[in-house]
Amino acid sequence: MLQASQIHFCIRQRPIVDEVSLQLSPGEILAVLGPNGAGKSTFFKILSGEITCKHGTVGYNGHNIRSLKSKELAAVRAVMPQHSQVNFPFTAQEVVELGLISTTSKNPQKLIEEVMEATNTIHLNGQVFNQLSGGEKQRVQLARVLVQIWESKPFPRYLLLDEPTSSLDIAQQHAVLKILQTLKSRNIGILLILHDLNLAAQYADKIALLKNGIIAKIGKVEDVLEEKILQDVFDHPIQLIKNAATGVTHISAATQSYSAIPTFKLA
Amino acid sequence: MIPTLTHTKIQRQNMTLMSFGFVLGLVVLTSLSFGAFSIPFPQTLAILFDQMGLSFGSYELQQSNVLLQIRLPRVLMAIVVGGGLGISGAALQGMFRNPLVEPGLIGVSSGSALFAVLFMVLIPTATATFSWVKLLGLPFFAFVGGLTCVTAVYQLSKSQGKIDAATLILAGVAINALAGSLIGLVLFFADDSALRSFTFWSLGDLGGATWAKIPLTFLLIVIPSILLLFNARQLNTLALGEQEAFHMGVNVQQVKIRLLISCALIVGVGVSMVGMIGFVGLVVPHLIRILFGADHRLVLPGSFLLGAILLNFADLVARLIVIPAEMPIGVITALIGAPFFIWLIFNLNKSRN
Amino acid sequence: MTPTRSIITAGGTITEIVNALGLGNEITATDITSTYPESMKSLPSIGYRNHIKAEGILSLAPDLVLIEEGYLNPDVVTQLKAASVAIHSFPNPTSVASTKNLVLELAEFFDQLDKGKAINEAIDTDIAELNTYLNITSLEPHAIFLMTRGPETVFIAGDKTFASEMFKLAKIQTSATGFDEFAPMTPESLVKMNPEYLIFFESGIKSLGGREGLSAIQGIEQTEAFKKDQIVSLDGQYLSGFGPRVGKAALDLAKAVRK
Repeated sequence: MLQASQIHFCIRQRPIVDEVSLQLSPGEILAVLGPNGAGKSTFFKILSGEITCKHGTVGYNGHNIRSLKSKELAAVRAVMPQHSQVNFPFTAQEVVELGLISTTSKNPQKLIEEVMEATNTIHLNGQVFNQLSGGEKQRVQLARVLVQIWESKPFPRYLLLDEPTSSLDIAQQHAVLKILQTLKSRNIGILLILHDLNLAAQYADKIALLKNGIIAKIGKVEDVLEEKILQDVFDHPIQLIKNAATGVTHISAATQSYSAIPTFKLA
Repeated sequence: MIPTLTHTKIQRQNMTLMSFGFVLGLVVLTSLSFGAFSIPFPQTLAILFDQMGLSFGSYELQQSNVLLQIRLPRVLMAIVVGGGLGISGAALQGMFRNPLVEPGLIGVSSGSALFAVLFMVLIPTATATFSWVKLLGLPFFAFVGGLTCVTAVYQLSKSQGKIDAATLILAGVAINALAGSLIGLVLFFADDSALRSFTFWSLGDLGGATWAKIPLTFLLIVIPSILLLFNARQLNTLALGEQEAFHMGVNVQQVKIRLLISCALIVGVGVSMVGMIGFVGLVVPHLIRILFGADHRLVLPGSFLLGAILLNFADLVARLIVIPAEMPIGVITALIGAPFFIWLIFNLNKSRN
Repeated sequence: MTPTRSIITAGGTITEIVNALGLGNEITATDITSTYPESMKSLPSIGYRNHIKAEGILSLAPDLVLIEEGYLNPDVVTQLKAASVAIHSFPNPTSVASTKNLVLELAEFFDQLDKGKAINEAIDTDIAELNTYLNITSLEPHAIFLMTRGPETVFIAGDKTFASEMFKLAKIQTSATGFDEFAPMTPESLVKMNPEYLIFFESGIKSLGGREGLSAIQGIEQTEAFKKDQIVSLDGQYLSGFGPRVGKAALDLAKAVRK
C-alpha cells in the first residue's frame, strides 16, 4: 500500500498542501483531480519523493520513503512525467532501454519486448524518438517507465502519472488509459493526476478531489461524483447526465446555476 | 524478436571502436613522419622498430633525436589532450542536455587558463622548470579554475531544476569574458616571459611538449576519462532530465559531481599544458552521434578516439603549413570547427521548423 | 677556407659579438633581431622569441646554438637538449659593464680571450670619446623614448629599460614613469611630459608610415619635440643591443639631441 499521512507542505508560510492523507492499494486506479492551484503537482512530487515535506509521512509498503535509498525507491515506484524533452537522437527502443538502469532483470530482452508489446510500441523501435507523434512519445515513455515495475515481485509496485493524457487526442487518451487498466492485474497500484472528469469517471476505481491543499472528498467513483461536491471543488456549475443507452454517467459543465448555491445573480 | 543490447550489438560497437583505434594509429604514424625536419619514411620506421627491439634499417642519430625527443612527446600530447577534449565535450553535452555545449563555450577552458596564469604569477618562475611543486601545482590550479567556472555557469543556468539553454550560453559568454579579461590583466602586469604569451593561452600550442610532462598529463586525463566511461549509462538517463533520472533510481547529485569534476580535471590539465584549443569538444561528439547514435556507451569512447585523431591531424597541418614557422593550432581547429558549428545551428533551426 | 662548424645565434647582441670575435662566417642562421652586420640579414631566419620551435632549428643542423637567456621558450630549450644539441645561453646585457662581461664570456667560450679584450678596449675608447664630448657641452636635454608598432600601439620606456640606461650614458634627462618596463603611452601623459626630443627606433617610424605619420600619435602635436621637429630615430639593434657598438650608439644619441 502507498500511504500518505497528514502531508503538510508550505512555501514561504503559505500552505500548498494543507493536510492530505490518502491510500493507494495495488490493483486499483486512483485519480486525483482538482482545480489549478489546488496543490496536485506539489502533492504528486511529495508522493514520488522529489520533494521532501517536514510534516506528514509517505510510506511505500510500510517503509517510510525517507528510509528508502533511491534504488530501493525506484524498485517500488515508477513516475511518468507530463512532458519529456529528449535532446539527443535516441531511438524509441533506446529510450525504453534506459529504464533498465533501475532494475536488475535476469532477462532484459524479454522485459523490453513485453513492455513494448503492452504499450503497442514495438513497431516504433528503430525510429528516432524525437520524430514520433505526441501519442507515440507518451506510449514509449510509458514503456520506459513500466520497465521499472513490470516484473513480478513479492511486493506491490506503484505507478504515478502526472497528467498523462493532457496533450493527446481522444484515441490516444483512451489507448493510454486502457494500458493502465491492464496493469492492475500485475499487483501494481496506479495514481494519476487528471483534468478530465469524464476520463476519471470511466477508468478510475477511486477519485480524490483536491482543493486548496485539502482533500474535499475521496472514495469510490460513484460516491465522489456528486453535483454539489463537484461544484464546490471546481467553483462551476456541474451537471451529471446519465446516458440511458450505455449506462455511463457524463459530467458536464452546466450553464444554469442551482438554487442551492448562493449567488448574487438571479436566473 | 527485437534486437536489444545483445552480444551482436556489443560486438558491433567494439568493431567500430577498434577501427577508430586503427585510424588513430595511421594518423599517429603520419604525424611522426612529417615536420620541419625531414626524415625519410624508411628511417622513421627504422627508428620506431628499433625502439621495439626489432632491427629494420639504419638511421642517423639526429633523426632519431628529432623523432623520439621532439615529435613523439608532441604526438602523445595531442592524443591525450585531443581525446580528453572529445570525451569531456561529450560528457558535458550529456550533462547539460544540450548538443551545442563544449568546454570552451561554457567557461571551463578559460577558467582553467586563468587559474593556470595566476599560479605562474604566484610561484616564482626562477625555480627549476620541473620542480614537483610546479609540475603538480599548475594542472591542479587549472583544475580548480575550470571546476569553479563550470559550477558557476551551471548554477547560473539552472531554474526550477531545469537547465535553460539560452541562460547557459549567456552564462558561458559572461564567464568567458570575465576570465579572458582577467588573463589579459594578469599577463599585462607580470612581465615574466615564462608566463607565455596571450596567444599561447587563447590559441593553444603543442610545441612545448616534453617527455617530462607526459606521464602526469596522461594520468590526470586518462583516469577521469575512464571514470566518465563508467558513468555512460547514467549519462544516458540524464539525457531525459534530472527528475526522470532520479525517478529511475539514479543518484543524480552524485553523478553530476562526478561528471563536473572529471571534465574539469581533464580540461584543466589539458589547458595548463597546451593552452585553450576550441571546437574539438563540440565537433567530435556530434560526428560520433551522427554516425553511431546517441548511446553514451559508444559516444564517450568514440569521442575520445576521434578527438585524438582530430587534434593530431590539426597539429600536423599547423606544423606543415608555414614551415619553418608554425600556425597556432587553435586557428586550425577553429577553421574546421566554426563552419561545422554554423551548420549545426542551421540544422537545429531547420528541425525545429 | 670553408668553416668546419655551423653556429645558430638567437639575440642580436650575441650575433654581433660572435661576429666581432671573427666567427661571423660560421653563423648559418639567426633570429630576426640579428640585423648587424648587414650580412646576417641574408641568412635563414629561425623566427622570433617564443615562436621559435625546436624542429625548425634542428632542420638547419647546427653544431652549436647560442641564445640570449630567456629568448627561447624553456620547453624548446629542453627539447633541443634532449635532442643532444649543444645549446648555451648567455645573460642579456643591460649596461656597458654587463656588455663587457658578455664579451669576455663569449670570448672565453670560443677561446679568443685576446680578441675579447680588444673589443672591450674599443668600447672603453668609445666611452671616453663620449665623455669628452659631454664635458664640452653643458646641455642636458629632456627626451623620452617611444616604442611604436603603428599609431595605436605606442609604449613609453620605463625606468629600468635599455632606454633609461642609454639616456644616462648620453646625459639625457627623462621623466620618471613609475614603472620598470614598457607601458602603453597615454596622450595626456605625453603632453604633460612635453619632451624636447622624442627618440624612436627606425622600425618604429617605419611602422607609422614615415615621419609624416607621426602626427597620427595622439597628443604628439602638443609636444615641444614635434613642434620643433626634434625627432630622433636610430636603428633598433644599434640603440638597444648593448653590443660592441654601445659606446658609439651612446655618442650618436648624445649628439642627436644637442644639435
